[in-house]
Amino acid sequence: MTKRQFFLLFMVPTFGCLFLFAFYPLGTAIYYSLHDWDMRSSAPMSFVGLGNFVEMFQDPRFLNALKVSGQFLALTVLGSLALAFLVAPLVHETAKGWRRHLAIFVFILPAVLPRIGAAYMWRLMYDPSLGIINYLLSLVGLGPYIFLQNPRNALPSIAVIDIWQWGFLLTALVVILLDEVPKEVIEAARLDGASALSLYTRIMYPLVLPLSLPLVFIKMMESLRSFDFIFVLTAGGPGIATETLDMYAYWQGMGSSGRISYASAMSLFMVVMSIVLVTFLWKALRRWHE
Amino acid sequence: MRKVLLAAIVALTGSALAQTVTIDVLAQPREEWTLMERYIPEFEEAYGVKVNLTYLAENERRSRSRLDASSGAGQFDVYYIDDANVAEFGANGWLVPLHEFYPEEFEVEGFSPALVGLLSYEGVAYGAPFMTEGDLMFYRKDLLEERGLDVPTTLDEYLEVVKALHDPPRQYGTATRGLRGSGMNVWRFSPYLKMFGGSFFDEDGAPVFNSPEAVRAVEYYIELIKHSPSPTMSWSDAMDAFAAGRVGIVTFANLKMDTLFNPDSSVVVDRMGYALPPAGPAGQISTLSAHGLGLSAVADMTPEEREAAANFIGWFTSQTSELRKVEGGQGLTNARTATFESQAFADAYPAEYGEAMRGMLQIQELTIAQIPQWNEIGDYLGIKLEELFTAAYANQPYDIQAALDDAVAFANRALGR
Repeated sequence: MTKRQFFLLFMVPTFGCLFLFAFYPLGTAIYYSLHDWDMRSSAPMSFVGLGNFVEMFQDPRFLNALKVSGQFLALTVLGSLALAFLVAPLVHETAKGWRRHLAIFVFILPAVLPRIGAAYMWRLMYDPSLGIINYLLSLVGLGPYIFLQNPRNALPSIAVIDIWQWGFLLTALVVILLDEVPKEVIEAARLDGASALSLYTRIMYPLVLPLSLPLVFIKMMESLRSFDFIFVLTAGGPGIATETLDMYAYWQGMGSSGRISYASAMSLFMVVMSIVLVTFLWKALRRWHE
Repeated sequence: MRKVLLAAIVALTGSALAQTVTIDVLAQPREEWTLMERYIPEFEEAYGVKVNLTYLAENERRSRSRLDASSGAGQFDVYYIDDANVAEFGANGWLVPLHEFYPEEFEVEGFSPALVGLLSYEGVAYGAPFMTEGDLMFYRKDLLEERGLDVPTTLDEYLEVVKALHDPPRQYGTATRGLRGSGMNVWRFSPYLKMFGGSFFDEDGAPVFNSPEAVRAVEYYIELIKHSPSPTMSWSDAMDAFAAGRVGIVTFANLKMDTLFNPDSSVVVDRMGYALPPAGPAGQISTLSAHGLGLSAVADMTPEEREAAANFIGWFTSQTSELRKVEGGQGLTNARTATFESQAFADAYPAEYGEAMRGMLQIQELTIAQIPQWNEIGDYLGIKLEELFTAAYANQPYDIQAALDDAVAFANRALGR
């Protein structure tokens, strides 16, 4: 096989799929976003320029969705990281040998569950009258608490599930990364009289954090497209308390209004926002690392 | 030799293709469709037609059929339509009028006229109805007797009974729909709006559901929500809670009550009473809804395909099919007057229930607005109602007037007023 054949064999299907499932839809989304296609009407669509984008920033529901997406992103990314960096040292210090393997295995389990399945499970657990969480709370004389049906609790309650799935996975990975820190470094620090706290904050975390950055970015992408998850748990409710950008775009485009053009504009905005956000953070973190 | 064989194969498949007429039907997964699927091979054989069914849940079914028709794709020959989206389809000319295609042998005049009227837009009928639903009150006889309570006939009495039977978390007074959506909480709320003297639109089509009457109706509905297991129940959540014996009294659609009559899915089979929904200050009203099948005006059909699609609609909504549904335990989802008056129907359901249901047919009214923008406006109002319900349930402050004013402003924008 020549190099050229090899190239074609592997690149043509890859780029073919990318074109078909990424670039082509992206192109049509750009096209639709500049028009006013409304599925409820059989009138031909006309060019409206940036009209959809202007409308977006005057639409309180869009601004709410932007806020909810931001809150969900911050809650789940920071929550997962906090959990990982708090629990990993405990495991690293106390569990050795098979106990550590068992801990890692258990930490990975929630992430292995399909997200839809996990969402249904938690929806039942959160249920005000049938759920196990309120049952357990009632044993110690608390509750019943309303989780998903309370506008103030709904988003944090969903974030908890996401952190449960991703935070423990990150914990397992950080435990493995902590193992990679050379023993000599740790012993030297201990000989110099470093406390456990400063050992971690000054030596272990700075060594491990850059290695875990790709995980943080993957988690961010995951948090930005949590449509399936939220759809099962609240479908954006109560009201619009958990309506993220992708959820709102769905309701506008497919769910009830049929405003494909407006939904396309919102989706494009989301793509651009994600790219800007990731690039900005990536650069900032690299500068900090150097 | 090879060439001859190839030609023979092409000729054979060509003629086979020409002989089999295939029709594509978009449907919604419902128990009576599962039942009727058993008989579809019979239809296919009798008419020489192959039927392809595609099932999508209610909201997805609406958006998929809209996409199929508006984009001109025309994948489906037969659409599943309902009273909430017939206006959109009629206004855009996506359906063939019912009387232009419904086969004579299946008797279009047998349908309840009210239901055909419901699947019409601007006086033209588009859908062949195969089911209707309306409201009935279902209550726990044992609980009412235990506490010496009478069966309520007014909304005030109803609320008193709800409160008297409320003992959470063991037992809830009622269970009512709070989940947002034009076909969800707004649908359930709509008869209350009318019974308190309010309406969605005035005679000129201006939205007026922020009137003092509407505010009172929402106040009342919030009381019901507060005595429910959750403020965002769907229809099936509410029914499951009642079937599980955790709820005292409910008013909801009679449709699919077959689940409550089934001892496998209900622990309250022998303890249920049925009555008409309670009356409000402005009268006693039950919702009226119909689902039906329509013939696509968008799909590119040959005359044979069009005939096959029309025959399928006729066969599916025929008297024979309706009686089969009664015998198969799905008798409540029918649309022909003769079916509800039949001996088979009388044999299949308790006399008390049949009486309540016949009474229901007398007080049924269309409670939503049949305009193309209804789904969008209803969905927005549904969000506002859900916000009120969940805030009230969590003892947080809420402002009914402000929420309704906001929804009315949205409706005005959607209507271009």
